Amino acid sequence: MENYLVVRSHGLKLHLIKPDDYEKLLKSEDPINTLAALGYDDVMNIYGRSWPEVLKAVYAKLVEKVRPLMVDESYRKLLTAFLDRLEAANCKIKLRELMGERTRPVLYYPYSHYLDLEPLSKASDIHEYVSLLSETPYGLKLRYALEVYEKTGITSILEASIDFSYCNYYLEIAKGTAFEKFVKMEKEVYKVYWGELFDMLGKTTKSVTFDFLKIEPNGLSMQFSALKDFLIKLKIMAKEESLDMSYVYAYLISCWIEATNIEKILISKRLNIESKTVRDMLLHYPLCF
Amino acid sequence: MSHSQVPISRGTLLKLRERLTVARRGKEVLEMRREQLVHELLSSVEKIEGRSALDDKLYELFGEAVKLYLTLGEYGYRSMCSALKAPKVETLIESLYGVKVPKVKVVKEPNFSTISDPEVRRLASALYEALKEAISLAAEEEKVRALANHLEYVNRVTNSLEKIIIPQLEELIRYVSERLEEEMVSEFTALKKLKRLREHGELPGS
Repeated sequence: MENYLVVRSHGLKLHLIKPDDYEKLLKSEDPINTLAALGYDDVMNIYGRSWPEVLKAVYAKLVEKVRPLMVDESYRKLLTAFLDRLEAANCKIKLRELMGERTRPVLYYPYSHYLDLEPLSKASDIHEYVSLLSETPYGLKLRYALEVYEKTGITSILEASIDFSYCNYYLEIAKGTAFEKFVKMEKEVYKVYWGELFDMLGKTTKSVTFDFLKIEPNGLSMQFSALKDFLIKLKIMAKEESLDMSYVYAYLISCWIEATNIEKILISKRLNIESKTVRDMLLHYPLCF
Repeated sequence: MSHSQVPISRGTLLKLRERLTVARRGKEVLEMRREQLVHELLSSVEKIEGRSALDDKLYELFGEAVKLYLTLGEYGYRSMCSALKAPKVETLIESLYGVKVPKVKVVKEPNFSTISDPEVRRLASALYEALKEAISLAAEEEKVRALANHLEYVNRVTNSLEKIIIPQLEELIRYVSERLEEEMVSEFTALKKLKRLREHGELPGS
């Protein structure tokens, strides 16, 4: 089965948007039609071509690109757990919406596994939200985090608990498979962002500690550079073991990078941001072209 | 008012003198008001001069926001924005020397603590501070516009008092007093003539 996945990934890699295609998108005066011509027309026909619809189509395509690898039950679970990061992100989106005043409509990734988007988006208060998530792997530490939040008012603990629970759930599924080391590497990227909050969530008991008051996530720029380092390592591994599962994982990450890169380009085109700024922000695939 | 329309009498002279006093007093008051307005205007202009520095700051923050937008993506950015508890702002109209000027008051400050990421929080807070400054600057500019309009009006009234009304009143007073004097002299001469005629018995019935 692993051989099949490796061979399939080599084949599917050819359908990824290439660096030249990014240039085409950056130079295009009609990036949405250019994107459609690059193989996104099928999802765009389903989701539409207006501003938020095209973004949904981009992430629906990410799911489409991973789906052909879900042929075996054991790997289906693993690949679904990989995609579940979108659901975890949806949970964080809803959480932020609940914390704020809901003045602007939020956007959810077009993906659901454990939790349908409708009940999630309709949750009206934090307690309803927590009870909804307690049925899912993302709610593992949420009740504890809520307790800390109610005593300290620190909202980041709630978000950190979702990422922490997702990472643990993903790692649990990957345990004993060829993906385990990559999932561990990816968890490190999450840890770089959340810093001590992640360690503390790992050690927590039922009692609430007020040490959380001193703790703050490390921030996006640190996470961005940690992500870049992770991609470099993965690229080296995928190059050295191109007939191994490293290549499959590198393909998965490439699919995700493709979606985020397209999102960045579409934003830049919408805001008329110069191409140079965007080029610097694009991530490189951990695969060789 | 032309000379021919003015009744020549002591009462008219008194009224004209009263009007002149009122006009002179009014001019003085308006001049004082003009000075106050100019003083207020200059202090507002000083505040507005900080605009270019604010423009630079906003430009810089906008660049940072764009980078953050690209890093977070549409989903992340929208979601971070939704976490914010927005400020509540009220626009009031206050009277400054009788001039209606707008004033922006922040009733409720935004709550940035709901934003989990420190970089996003810092930028959101900096953007809010810059925008708050921009709003108060806009209110200041509106104040300058209102003060300048009023100053123009005060200037027009003061000038018309100084150059038209007061000289006209002075001229009328001079005219009425001269006419009254002439009438007095002619009355006096007539009385004197009558007296002489009576003394010489030239008046019929004397």
